[in-house]
Amino acid sequence: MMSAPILTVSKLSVGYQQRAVLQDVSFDLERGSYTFILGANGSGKSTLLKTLAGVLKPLSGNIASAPDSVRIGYVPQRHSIDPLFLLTSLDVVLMGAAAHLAAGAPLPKSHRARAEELLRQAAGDVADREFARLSGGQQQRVLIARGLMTNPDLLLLDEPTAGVDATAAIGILEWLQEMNASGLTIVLVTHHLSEIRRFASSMIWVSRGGARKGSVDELQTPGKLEELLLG
Amino acid sequence: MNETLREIFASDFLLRNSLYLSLVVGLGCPLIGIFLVLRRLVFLGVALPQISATGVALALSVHVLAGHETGLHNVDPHNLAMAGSVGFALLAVIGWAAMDRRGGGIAEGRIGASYVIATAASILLLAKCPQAEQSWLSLFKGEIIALSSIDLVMTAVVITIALAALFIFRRDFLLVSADPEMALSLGKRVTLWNVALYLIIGATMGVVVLCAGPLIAFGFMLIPPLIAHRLSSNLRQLAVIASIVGVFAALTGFVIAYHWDLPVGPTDVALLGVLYLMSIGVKLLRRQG
Repeated sequence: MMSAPILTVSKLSVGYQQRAVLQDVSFDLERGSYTFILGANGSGKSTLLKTLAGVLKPLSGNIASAPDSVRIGYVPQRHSIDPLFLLTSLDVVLMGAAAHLAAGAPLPKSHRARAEELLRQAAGDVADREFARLSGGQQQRVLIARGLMTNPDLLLLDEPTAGVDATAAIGILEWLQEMNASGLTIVLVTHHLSEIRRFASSMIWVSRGGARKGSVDELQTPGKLEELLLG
Repeated sequence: MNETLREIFASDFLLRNSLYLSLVVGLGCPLIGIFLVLRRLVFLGVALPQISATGVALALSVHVLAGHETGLHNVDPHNLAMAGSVGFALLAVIGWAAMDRRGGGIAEGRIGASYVIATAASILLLAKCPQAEQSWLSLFKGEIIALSSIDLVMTAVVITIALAALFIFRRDFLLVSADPEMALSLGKRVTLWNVALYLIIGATMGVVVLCAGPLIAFGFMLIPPLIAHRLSSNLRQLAVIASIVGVFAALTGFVIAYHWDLPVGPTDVALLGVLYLMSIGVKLLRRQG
């Protein structure tokens, strides 16, 4: 049975400085789905995700949420944080608290406690460790904990398994699957077909300047992958 | 040296304003400069004092440009210099922020070009006014002997306001600096925060350049944070060590300069240079150990 959409994307064009990367994109994102965005390198997967997250403004078209107050958590790629900043893991997770605080407002103890708890669940006892010195898998888990600080209904992740060893990657996807089972809608960008086959409930294909919803079964279609990955 | 220290710390010490200014700059500028270092805007830290100094050069020579032999009537040259220093610094940061927002081009290239053009403009402005050139060179050398109480208080107030703003909004400035993508996804107006940060840095730089010179402004904004970064593993340590290094260099540099009759600015910066080399040594020793 199809559930109600949490996001409805209509005739969306996305890109940078008025230069469209994807055009005329329309799809519904079902509440409770575990959706993977797949496409060739440079096809516009991350651009689409960033637009859904509000990092980039749509060039045209519309993204409507239902209800209007859907909270979105965004997990950028690991290297989005410059190691020069000497941030501890707890510093990173606490950044997510900005979603609930006015500019300059002091951090309530409850937010700090929640950040510590999320961090412990995500990556263990790493609160005081420098973020840049963690393993790739741990860094990704810390970033996901930060995304969860916003109490999201929808979590958007940009290549959460990139540069992470296979075991850690599966651990991350299984953790996300558990959160998905408890009601969190998840969308993530990936290059790994095996991950899609094992975890995805739906897919978004990105190729040739456009994007559309698809099913995981399409991966079995002869020639489909070549068409996608070779553009 | 004991006699020197006794003189410096006496309540009637003639140059006490200069000493206090050194300490205020030594404490405040490294904390503000941390953002320049962390955001990899070191070159901006070099260019901004130079542009600010061009504003001073314009203010000092404006009467020649206006066709007057001496100064302009009814205009205090010092106030004019202050307006030039702060005004040019603020104009520069607003201009850079606007160009960054429009995108395109190379940000470092814009800053580099501003630096070269500002240097050339300063020399040209002062070419026909030897008296102004002399005052400007004294400023450039970091001679902070004749400092009025008003200048001292104004510098202290500006640095205090800048530090208070950076402290109160530290989480916001950190978020937009360390991870602008995340900040945008949380609905933060990143460009606005960047402009606010640049204005804080620009205003501070403008005041410090006029009262202490570009060498001191640049030296204390950049070298203590660079030293502290080598010795720190988190932001709190970075801030504490940068301030300690700044105050230590300001006080020690002042004592050395007074004792051996040297200009304070170059002495402070040379001392910071020695501390920087020592921090490299400490880091190497730590790695080997």
